[in-house]
Amino acid sequence: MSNYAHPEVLVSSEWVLAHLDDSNVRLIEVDVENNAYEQGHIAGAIAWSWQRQLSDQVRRDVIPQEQFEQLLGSAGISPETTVVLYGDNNNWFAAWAFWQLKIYGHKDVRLLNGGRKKWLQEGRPLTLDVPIYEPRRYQAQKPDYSIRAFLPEVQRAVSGGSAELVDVRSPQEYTGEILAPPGLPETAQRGGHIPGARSIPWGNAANEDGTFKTLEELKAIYDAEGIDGTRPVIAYCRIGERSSYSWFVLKYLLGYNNVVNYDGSWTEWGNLVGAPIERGVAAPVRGLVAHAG
Amino acid sequence: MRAEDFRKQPLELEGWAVHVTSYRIGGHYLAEVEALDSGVTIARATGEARVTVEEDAIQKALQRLRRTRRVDLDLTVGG
Repeated sequence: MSNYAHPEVLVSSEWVLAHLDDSNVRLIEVDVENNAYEQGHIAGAIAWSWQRQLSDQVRRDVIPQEQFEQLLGSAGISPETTVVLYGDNNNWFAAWAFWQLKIYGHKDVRLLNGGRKKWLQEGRPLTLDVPIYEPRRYQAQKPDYSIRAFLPEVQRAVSGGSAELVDVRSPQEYTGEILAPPGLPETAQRGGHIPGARSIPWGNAANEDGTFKTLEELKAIYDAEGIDGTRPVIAYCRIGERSSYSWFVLKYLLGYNNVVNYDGSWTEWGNLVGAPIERGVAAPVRGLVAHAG
Repeated sequence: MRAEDFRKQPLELEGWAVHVTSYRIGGHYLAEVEALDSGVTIARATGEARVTVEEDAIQKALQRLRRTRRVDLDLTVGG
């Protein structure tokens, strides 16, 4: 993990094992719901539900600052705590939580490389014990929305080319063949992608065991689509969790500074009245010449 | 307690390539059906017998996959 731009934001299973009794480290399993956690989790880990605890389901927003402070404080977390996030679903929702913790300015947040999947496959110890931590008063920073794209910023990218758009959904969602990942509810009126977006599915960055690919591999994947860190990047998916994962890759592993997550994603753009979309496969990258063979 | 006795099988359900993964934690088996293209976990099940749990997860996945509509597209180059 050492040659990533910010290797300090990733920890290995071995690191977690060595810090199970470290009172300054808080492990948090994050997923849509807590079903997997309830079957067994890493000792000392608490559970956060993306749906119930990290999202404001009324406003469709990240949770407000006061609620965020209460969530962290009730987990015994202080601004100095090292928060290690992991989860099922390939760490997507753990990456969302990472992004949200950064919005509210938490300094030391890390992801368990490989998440729950790798921990289980390695036969690492699990427990059913749910820890209770002494609550603390947590003071968050004012929200930093410089890592979040709202609709007007995406509209400017489409109309004026102010940023590169990266669609991290599956190829079938990108082309418009399907409106949502297979088996999930269709939450958009139409299929396709935001005009000009490059298709770089989140999974291109992951190894079979759930860990991230090497810096060189990641650089090659994004370079091939013209994403090299020289221009601002807006990552999006369907609801913003897969794009949190790709945002993490671009910003912390590749070290591209100007990368934002558009959490409105396809469920916003795909439902907008009058907004242009494209369907079908992507055009070749401008300036790159394809070589046969 | 740890996850053990893993089994992973590729399947095609309603035209979608999936992996059905099952394993045991303590006295329970768990099964998950994951769509290969999207990486989405479509269905999960838990219970005491592996075969029953896998079948349960597959049936749940089938129900959900039947609701996924495919749109016929002329996949010419856009952009």
